Amino acid sequence: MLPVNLSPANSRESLVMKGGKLVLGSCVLLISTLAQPHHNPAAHYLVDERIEIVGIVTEFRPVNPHSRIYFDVNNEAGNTEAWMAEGDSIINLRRAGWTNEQLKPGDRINILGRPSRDGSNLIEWTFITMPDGTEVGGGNGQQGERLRMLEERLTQYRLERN
Amino acid sequence: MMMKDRTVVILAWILLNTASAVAQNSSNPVLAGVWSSTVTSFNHSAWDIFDLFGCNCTPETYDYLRGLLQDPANDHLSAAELQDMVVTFNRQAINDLLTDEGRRYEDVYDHADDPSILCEPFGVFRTILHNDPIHIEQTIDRIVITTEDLASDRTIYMNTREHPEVPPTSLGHSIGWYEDSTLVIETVGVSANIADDNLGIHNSSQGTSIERYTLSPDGRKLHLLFTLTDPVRYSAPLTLERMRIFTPEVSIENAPCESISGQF
Repeated sequence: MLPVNLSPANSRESLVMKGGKLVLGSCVLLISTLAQPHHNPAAHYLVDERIEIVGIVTEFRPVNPHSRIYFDVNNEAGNTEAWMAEGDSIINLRRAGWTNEQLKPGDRINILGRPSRDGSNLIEWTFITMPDGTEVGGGNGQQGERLRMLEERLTQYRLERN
Repeated sequence: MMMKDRTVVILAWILLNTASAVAQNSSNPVLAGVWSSTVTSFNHSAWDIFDLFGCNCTPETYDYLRGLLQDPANDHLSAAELQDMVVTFNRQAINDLLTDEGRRYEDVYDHADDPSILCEPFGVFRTILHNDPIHIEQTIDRIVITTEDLASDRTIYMNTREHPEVPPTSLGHSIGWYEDSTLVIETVGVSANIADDNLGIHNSSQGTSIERYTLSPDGRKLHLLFTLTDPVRYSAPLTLERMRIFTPEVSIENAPCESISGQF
C-alpha cells in the first residue's frame, strides 16, 4: 500500500488499521447526507464509517447513476482481491471536468470512502488521490469538493461579517 | 387558396403575439431556462453563504441556520460541523411532524428497498425535491419541466383549475397559476412513494402538494416553497424550502440508468 496521504480536510481523523484497510472512526469527516444524488447511500454503505484503500485500476465505467471504478487490491495475505468503487454520475462528473478516460487501467489510486454494509468489496468513494498527491475527487455528490468550497466561503463570510 | 393561406398567417400571428404577451406580462415571472441547485453547481458565484448551507430545509431550520452563521460565538465551528448541526436540526423538525403511522413506517423502512436502486424513475415529490438541474418551458396553457437521470419530466396544466378524477399515479396531476410574481403549482392524485430518501420523507396516497416558485428581483434565483399535506404520515403540513439559480450554461443531459448501485 502507498503511504496514507490524508488531505488537510481530513487530517483530524483517527485511523485504525483493519484487514489491510485503514478504517476511520465514526465521528470523523462530517460529510452528512445533506443533499446527495439519487438514493440514500445507507442502502449499501456504512455512512458513518470511512476506509482508505489503495488499488490498481482495472476499469473505469463512466455511467449513470453512479460511475464505477473496478480495481485490484493486494490483501495482507498477498492475494489479489477485486474491488469496485461507486462515485458521482458521469453527467455531474463531466460538469466537473471529468472525461471518460479520467482513470485508466494500471493507474494506482488511493480511495477514501464509505465501506459496504454487507462486508463485500465495495466502497462509495469520497476522494481519490493519485500517487503524486493529486486529488481527483468525484465522489457521490462531490461532497468532498463541496465541503472544501464551503469551508472557504465560510471563512470569507466571517471575515466580511466581522 | 390564397384566402386560406392568409387565414393561416393571421392565425399564426395572433397565436404568436398572444404567447408573447403572456410570457411578457409583467405580472408573470419568466421562468424559462435551466435552473441548478447547490449540489450540481456549487461553485457558482451567485450563491450566498445561506444558500450554500441550505437544503430541503424547513423554515425553522433556516432560522436556526441564520442564527448559527450570524453569531460570532459559533466561529470556532467548521463548515462540516455547522452542516451536521443543520442536518440534525432539520431531520428533527421533520420527524416532529410524523404521525404514529408515519413513525411506524420510518421504523421499518430500509433504504435498500428504494426502487430507484433498480433504476425506477422518481415520483413527483421526489422529483420536485431532487438536486439535479431542471429545464422549465413556459407556454400559454402549460409548463413543462424537463429533468435528467432518474427524476421524471412533468407537465403542469395552466388552463384549468380542476383535477380529473383518476386513480393515483407516481406523477399525479398538476395544475398551476400565477400569483403576482410567483408560480403556484398544486399536485394531487399521487401514489404512495418516497418524497426525499435522505430526509426520510415518504408520502401516502393521500399526499398533496403546493409548490410556490418565486423569482428574485434580479431574476437569477428561484426560491421554492414546497408544502406537503399528508394526514396519514404528517400531523401538519410539512414545508420545505430550497433555492435554485439560473444557469443558461448548463444543459439537461439524457442519462439512462446503466448500473445497479451496490451490485458488483
